[in-house]
Amino acid sequence: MSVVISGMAVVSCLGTDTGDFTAGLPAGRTPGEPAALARVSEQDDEAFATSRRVRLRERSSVLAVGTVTKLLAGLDLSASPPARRGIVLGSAMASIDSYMIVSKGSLSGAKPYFVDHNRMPPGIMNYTSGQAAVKFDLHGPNVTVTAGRASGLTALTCGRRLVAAGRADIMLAGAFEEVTERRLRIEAAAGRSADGIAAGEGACVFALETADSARRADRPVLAELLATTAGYFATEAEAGATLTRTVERALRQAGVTPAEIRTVVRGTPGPGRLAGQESTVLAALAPDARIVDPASVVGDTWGASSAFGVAAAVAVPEGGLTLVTSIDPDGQVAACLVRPPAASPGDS
Amino acid sequence: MSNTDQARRNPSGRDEQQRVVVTGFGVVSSIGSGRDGFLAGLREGRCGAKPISRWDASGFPYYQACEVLDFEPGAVLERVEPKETGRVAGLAAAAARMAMDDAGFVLAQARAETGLIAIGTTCGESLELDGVAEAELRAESVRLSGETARLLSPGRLAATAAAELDLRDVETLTIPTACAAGNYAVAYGLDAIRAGEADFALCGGADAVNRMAFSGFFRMGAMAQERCRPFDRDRDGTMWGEGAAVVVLESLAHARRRGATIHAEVLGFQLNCDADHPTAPVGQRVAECIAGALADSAVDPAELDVVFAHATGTKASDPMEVKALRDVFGERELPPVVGLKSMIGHTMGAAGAHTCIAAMLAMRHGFLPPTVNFREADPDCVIDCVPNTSRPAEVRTVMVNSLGFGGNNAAVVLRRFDEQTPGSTPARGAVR
Repeated sequence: MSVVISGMAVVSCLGTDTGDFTAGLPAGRTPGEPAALARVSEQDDEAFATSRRVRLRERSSVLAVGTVTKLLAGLDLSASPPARRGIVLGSAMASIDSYMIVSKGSLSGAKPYFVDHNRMPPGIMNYTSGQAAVKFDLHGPNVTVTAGRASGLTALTCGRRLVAAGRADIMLAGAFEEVTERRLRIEAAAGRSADGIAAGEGACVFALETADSARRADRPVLAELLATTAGYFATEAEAGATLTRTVERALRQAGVTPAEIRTVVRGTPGPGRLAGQESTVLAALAPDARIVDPASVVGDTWGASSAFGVAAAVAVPEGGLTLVTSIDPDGQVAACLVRPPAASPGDS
Repeated sequence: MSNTDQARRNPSGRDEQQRVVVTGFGVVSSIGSGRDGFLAGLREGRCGAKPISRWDASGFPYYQACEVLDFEPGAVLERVEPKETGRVAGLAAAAARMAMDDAGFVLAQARAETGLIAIGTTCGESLELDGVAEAELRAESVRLSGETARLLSPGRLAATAAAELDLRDVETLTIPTACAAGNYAVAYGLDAIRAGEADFALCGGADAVNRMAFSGFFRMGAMAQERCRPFDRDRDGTMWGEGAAVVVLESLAHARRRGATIHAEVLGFQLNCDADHPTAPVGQRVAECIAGALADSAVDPAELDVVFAHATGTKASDPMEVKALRDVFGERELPPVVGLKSMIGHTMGAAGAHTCIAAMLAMRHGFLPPTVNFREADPDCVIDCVPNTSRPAEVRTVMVNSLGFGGNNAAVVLRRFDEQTPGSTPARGAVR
């Protein structure tokens, strides 16, 4: 079953409109010292406003639901009943701040149960997808996934499978992450901070449906989602080998050869051991492919990073068959092959 | 279609490559761990409730929960150092190891195939997170150790299981879809196998009794004072439980090639979302979820021998679920409706998987696990909940309900695997 991307919304430090990202990506990094933080300024944008019905107590949820709002502003779902519309969102560690507020409240209050229980639902990771469902009447599958840096590609895989299995007509799938003081502290202590790359934040959400469904709704196809695969490594030295195997499975799943790859969107931000292995694998596999590095533009967006990889694959002009990779220090590896419609006649 | 061909198809007309079966499971619970321990706990109707002891809960007026005090992941972990993992990831990895052992899955074979590990959770590596909260309160400038910081990513729950089993070509994901997550994981494995994208799937969930969820629920008045009593007139809340549960899924064709023992077939499921209030379920959506799972499985409601309800034991939720079942069953009589949480507590992201395993043990050993702590019927939930004592029964087809925070509902339908049944007793539903 051919599943396609028929909608995309991207919110990043480049701006709160998808066009800001597509225009800013090819320009690359502004020369000079990278900013320490690549944050989103969403204050003036109506899409990020909360209401009485949809209360978003974490800024990461605001970013994510705002991005869904942006996506649906240009996407008419009315042909599908609410039960046939679903959403799957990923992040590496959203909700931790609300979790901490409740836990610390219990530890420091006059009584251990004098906690702000309204912060408990946001302290559980599925809160954001649930609130997006409330805002847009998404009664279908409502999934939250987390797999470190691979969270974005994991969400796309999940959405693709649900559509392919006929569990929903349309799945909104994407990932989000916020820059917080606590996240930076945890990443630094864990030795995961990217070298020479600003910590970034934002969200990317895609609309996934079958090619038939897009045609019926008269929605233009942004890219065909040919394959998504994932693998694991237990020790860092094996990361390259796992990436090779994961990409090979993606190529088999898509029925294409490495020689057809025109563009590679790499997932590891900045220099480092994992980046070195990724470069070696990609150079051996697709030596002539153009390399795109979204982290150099939007910063290291962690749990959202591989969703930014897919967004870059869609945004790059004349990208042709594009491979998106992701490697997390925790061992999660993921790969994805997408093809924009413009390249289809030549490739197929 | 030939007779032999017919016999190899399930009610939905799926062939052996498309039929997904359970060939093993690993379980850690407060009423017993491992196949034998959990089975004995279910049969005897044990209750795992006791005062919380993993952290200081003494400031609460009451603090009962179903912690697991007689099982340490280190007892079964072979590769992962228990000290280098959090409690919850350790439980998940231990349950995954036990499940592969139980399935008789040769790991060398698993390493040569493509796999999926999906672990559901509500609170992730919660005891470590509570520890960080304490450390942040103690010191103005927090020095987080690298060892602790590396444990906090919830994605590690699934990844640690991959490390324990030394798997490479395996997709790992943690599904934090709150208290429906265990069923979500099983559902995801089913679709991945049917799509031919995984040869085997380890699906389940893990959670620990933590300060965040206990204090938050306590504040909402949702924690039981002494016992969790689903469907009882005097029920006063739910009770958190600790544990992990993982099942091994594979296609029937793959299981046959391995010569595996088949415990049950996963016939189908339904996932949906209330898209309403985060903590107050919507009955109509729950009924749609139940009806959808039956339709997906091509099973008529009358074929269900038992429903394992979500049954948290809170005032509002139990009658809502019973009503949703009645809406689906219409004029038909409801089968027994069991509330497993009365025994093992609400194991959050593991609850769906714990319940699927209890259902398979019930099929195999011919009994209905009880709803314990039951004293007096509630006129709003008039059902046979198998009060207090397990009883012998022929159990062939079951439904497992999970309803999570955020309005996430998931219902899974399982059927005992009898070699001869698919052809001989076709479902009354949509048989092709």
